[in-house]
Amino acid sequence: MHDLISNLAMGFGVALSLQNIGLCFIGCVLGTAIGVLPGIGPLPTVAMLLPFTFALDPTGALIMLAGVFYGAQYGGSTTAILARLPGETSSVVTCLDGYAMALKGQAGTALAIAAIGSVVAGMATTLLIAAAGPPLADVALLFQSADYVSVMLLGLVSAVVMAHGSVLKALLMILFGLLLGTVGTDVASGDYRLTMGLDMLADGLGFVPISMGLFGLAEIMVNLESMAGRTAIAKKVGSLWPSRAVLWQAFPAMVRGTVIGAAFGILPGGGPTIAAFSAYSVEKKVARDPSRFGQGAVEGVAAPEAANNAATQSCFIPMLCLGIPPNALMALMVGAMMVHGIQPGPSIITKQPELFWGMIASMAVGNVILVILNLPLIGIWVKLLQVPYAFLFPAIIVFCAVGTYTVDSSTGDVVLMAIFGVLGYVFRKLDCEPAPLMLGLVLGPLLEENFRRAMVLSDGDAMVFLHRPISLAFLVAAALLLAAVLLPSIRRGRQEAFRE
Amino acid sequence: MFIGIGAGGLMLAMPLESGTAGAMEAGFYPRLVCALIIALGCLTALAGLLRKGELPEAWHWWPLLMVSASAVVFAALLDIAGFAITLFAVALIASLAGRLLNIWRAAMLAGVLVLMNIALFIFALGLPLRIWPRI
Repeated sequence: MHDLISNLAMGFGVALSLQNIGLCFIGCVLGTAIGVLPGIGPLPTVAMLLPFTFALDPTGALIMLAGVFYGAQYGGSTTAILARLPGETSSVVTCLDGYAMALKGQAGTALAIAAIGSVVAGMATTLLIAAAGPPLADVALLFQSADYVSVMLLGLVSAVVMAHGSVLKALLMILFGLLLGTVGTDVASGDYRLTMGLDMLADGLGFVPISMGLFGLAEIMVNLESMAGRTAIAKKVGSLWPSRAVLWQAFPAMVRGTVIGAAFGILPGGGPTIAAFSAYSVEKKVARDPSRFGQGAVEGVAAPEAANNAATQSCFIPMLCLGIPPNALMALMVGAMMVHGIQPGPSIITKQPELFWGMIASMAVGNVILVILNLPLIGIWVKLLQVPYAFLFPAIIVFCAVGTYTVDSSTGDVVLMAIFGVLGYVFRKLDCEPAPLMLGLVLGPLLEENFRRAMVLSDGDAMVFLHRPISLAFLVAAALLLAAVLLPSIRRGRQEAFRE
Repeated sequence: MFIGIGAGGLMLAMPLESGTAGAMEAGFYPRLVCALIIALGCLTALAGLLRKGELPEAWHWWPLLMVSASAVVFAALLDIAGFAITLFAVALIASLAGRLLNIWRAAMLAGVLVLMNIALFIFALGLPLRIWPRI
């Protein structure tokens, strides 16, 4: 307990330095600004802003990126409530009751509840990370290669389970990502693999051009074809202060949402989207009068918002402590850390405590900044919503191109981005989600390295994965998960969960 | 059906490249992954053939072409034409993708974007980029 406090104090010391507060603030502003724009979720936002952080020191860069991430997450909720345009999938459920409230003239209350829910969840989860991180990392230090392989397999399997749409396709996307991860120089032998004779690929496929292409450009291409008219934006925001009765009604929902969100965030393959969906359906089940939902129920805003924010933060736990990203966004963060020369993993806490604790403290700071940003300044964001897409997307394309170029000063990377933009479009048309691919791409090299090391240590005996208890436990969990999806009854339930 | 063939074909094309993989040591893992991809690709194709699925929605070639073209143009022009001209061209092509702006407004937008980017990347972030072509 004492350690926790002193560590947090150190973290706040880092996070509250003028530079880092500034970066966190900039991150939140940029994230919110871009997140508010319809059709651009946190993934493309973080991908797009990634190159801007390369000039910063690692801690500052990560603090800023994290700020962008929750800013974007939050911005999505604002548009969901005001315009029924979910900025990203995790705020789809917020649309249901949030927009209904806005139509009733309670937009201000809905926004305030969303903000309060987010802060409550954010603070609680920050404490959870601070408390759970170090012990978890201690456990993780016991892991050997074989165990890592199994954890990663579990992560990949649950990414498949949690993905929308066909299990088979998600599996294929992951494998494709793993394959892309092998491009480049082989670590052990120094041989070039799958480079097709191109020197450019000798260092492997850059992770920035791929994510920009898959999530940035492809997103634009898809948006350009569905340029239907926009929904009317609720103009009148109304009073921001919710009455005490409303708060009282919303508070238990926030707590439930936080718990659900934190749990789903840690789960590999989970993340804000599933957390928000589950929180909403739980609220519907526990409510005395479920018919209110969809008509503007406060709980319907409070719970999913708390859940998605809690998940947004708790998914940092496996990423920071194990070095294993639970979802595509965290995969991006891992990529960002690697660009800065940090190998995410259990040793990060002991080796770079300022980074670890600074980041945790910055989450608390970021939450406060978000509320300050969002409630009083809501008018600005509403204005931003009205910027026509025709002006917006050329700007995004230019940013993507310049951003990708500046990472490595390589025009080849920009071409690569174009290729992956097209691929991303094709994937979308084929109903394949690109997120599992990203996860595969980042985990691929890690998986291969550990797999090989495990094989070398065991003299090529594949049974080593079953002999080590930690490894066995993860494998069993992965197998159970996979079996569960293949069972028809659960499959039906899963489809229902995604349909809403 | 379309979906199945598409995904299957896509994945089947992948292992062809694995022939270039290095020695047995280095090639082992990629082959493992490729083998899995082939197997699953076949499964997907089969599943696609069995249930006559819905055709994917219509493809829109124009944005696809223009958006990727703008990125390629960026790569091609940057070293020759310098930052300003390249960005102008890219922004112009990009705005054509949407067919929402007439050419004058697109040019105006492109101009503004060029100025913004020069200010941001070259002055604010201090990246070593040439603004004008070398004469």
